Amino acid sequence: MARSYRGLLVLTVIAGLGILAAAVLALIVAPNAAGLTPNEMYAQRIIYFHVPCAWLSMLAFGVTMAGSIGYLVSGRRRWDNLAVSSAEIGIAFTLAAIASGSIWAKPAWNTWWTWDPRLTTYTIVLLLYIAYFMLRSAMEDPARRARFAAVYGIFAFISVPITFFSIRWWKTIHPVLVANSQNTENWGLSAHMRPVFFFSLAAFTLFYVVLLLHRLRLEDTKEQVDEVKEGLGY
Amino acid sequence: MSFFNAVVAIVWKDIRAELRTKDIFSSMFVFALLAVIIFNFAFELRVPDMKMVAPGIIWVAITFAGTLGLNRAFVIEQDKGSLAGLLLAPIDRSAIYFGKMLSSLLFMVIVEIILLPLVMVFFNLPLLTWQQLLVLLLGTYGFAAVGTVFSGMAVNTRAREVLLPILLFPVVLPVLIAGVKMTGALLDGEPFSSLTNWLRLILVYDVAFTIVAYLTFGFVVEE
Amino acid sequence: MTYLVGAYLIIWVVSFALILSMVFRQRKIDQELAVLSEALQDREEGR
Repeated sequence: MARSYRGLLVLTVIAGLGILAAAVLALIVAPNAAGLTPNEMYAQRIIYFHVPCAWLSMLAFGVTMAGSIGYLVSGRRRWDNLAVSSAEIGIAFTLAAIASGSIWAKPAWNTWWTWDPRLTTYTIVLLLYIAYFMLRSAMEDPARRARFAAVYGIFAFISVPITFFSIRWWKTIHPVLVANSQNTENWGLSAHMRPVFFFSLAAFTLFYVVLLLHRLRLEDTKEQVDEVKEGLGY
Repeated sequence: MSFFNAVVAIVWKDIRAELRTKDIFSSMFVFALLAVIIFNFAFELRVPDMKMVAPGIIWVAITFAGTLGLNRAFVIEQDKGSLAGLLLAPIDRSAIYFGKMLSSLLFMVIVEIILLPLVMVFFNLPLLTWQQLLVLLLGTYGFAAVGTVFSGMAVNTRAREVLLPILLFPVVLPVLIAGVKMTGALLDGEPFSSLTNWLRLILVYDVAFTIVAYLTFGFVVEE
Repeated sequence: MTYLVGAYLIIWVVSFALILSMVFRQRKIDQELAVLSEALQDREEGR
C-alpha cells in the first residue's frame, strides 16, 4: 500500500507541475490572437484553461456512466466508488468551466450570461449531477444507494446529447436573439496556439486522473472503515 | 403468465383501484387546471397574444400534473405493500415496469383529453387536431417512460416524493422543448411536415429511454 | 486583463476547494479508521 501511495504522490507532483507549465504557456508563451483589441486578446487566453475544464468534466461524467454500468453488471462496490468519485470531480470542473466561461463572456460578448445552446445544455448537466448527489444523500442503505445512483447516472449521461440537440434546434428555428456567430469566433486556433492548447489539455487530463485516484483512495478508506465496523458488530 | 397478460393485468389493477377512489385522477386534473388558470393570471396583462404562451402553459401543466400522478402511482404500491406482492409473482420485472408506465400514461392522457378542450375555450385556440394529440401522446409517453423509473426510486428515499421533480425535470427537458415547439408550430398554422426534426428527436428520446428503462427498472425494484 | 486573471483565479479556487475538501475528508476518515482498528484489535486480543 505504501509503495503505490508513493507512486501516486509522484504522479501528483507531476500533475501539479503540468498545470503550472500549462499556465505559463497559456499566459506568456502562446501567441496573441489576430485582429482583436488588447482586452479581447487577454480574454482569448482563457480558452487554454476553460475548454479543457469543460471537456474533462464531460469525460468525468462519462466515466461515471461507465462506473454505473459496471456496478449494475457486476455488483462490486469498486465500480460505484469510481462512479461517485468521478461525478464529484466532474461537478467541480463543470463549476470551474461555467465560472471561467462567464468571466470570459463579459469582455467578449459584453454579458455575463447567454442562453446559447452549449451553455444552456451545460447548466442542465450541472443540475443533472447535483440531482445525482441529492439522490445519493437521500439514501441510507449503501447497496441500494449505489444501485439507484447507477441507474440515474446512466439516464443522466444519455440525456445529455439529446438535450443538446433539442436546445440547439430550439434556437435555430427562431433566431430572434443575439447572433450566435460569436460562439464559434474565437475557438479557431492558429497553428502556433494549438500545441499550447493540447499541452494544457494533457495537463488537465493528468490532473483529472490524479484527482480521481486520490478520491478513489478516499472511497477505499471508507470501505475499510465499513469493514472494521462490521467486524466490531455495528 | 405471459408478458403481455402480466402488463395488462397490472394496468387493469391500477385502473380498477383508481375507479374506486378517483384519487389520483381528480388531483391530477384539478392541479393541471389550476396551473393553467394561474399561468393565465401570471401572463395575461403583459402578453399581447395568449397564443404565444399557450403551448408553454399546456406543457408545464402536464409536467406538474404528471409528476403528481407518477408520485402517487408508486406511493400507493408502497403503502399497501403490494409491490412486494408484484415482485413475488412469476412475472418479468419489466412487465411491472410496462404495466406501471402504461397506467401512468393512461391517466395522464385522460387528464389531457379533458384539459385540452378547456384550454381551447380559455384561450380560444384550435387545439383538438389529430396532429396536436399525436404530439401530446409522444411527449407524454417520454415523460411517463422516464418518470416511472425515477418515481420507483424516489419513493424509496428519505426525501420521498419531493425528489422526483429534482431527478426528472433535467432529464425530461427535451420532451418539454420538443412538445412546446411542436404545439406552438401547429398553432401557428405550420404544416405537420415541417416538424420532422422534432418528431425524430422525440421518437429517439422515447425509444432510447424505453430501452434504458427496460434494462434498469429491475435494479430499482429489487430488494 | 482583469477578466483573464479572474477566470484563471476561479479555476484555481475551485480546484483548491476540491483538493482541500478531499484532504480534510481523508484525514478525518483515516482517524476514524485508526480508532476503529484499534478497538477491533483490542477486542480480538481480549478474547
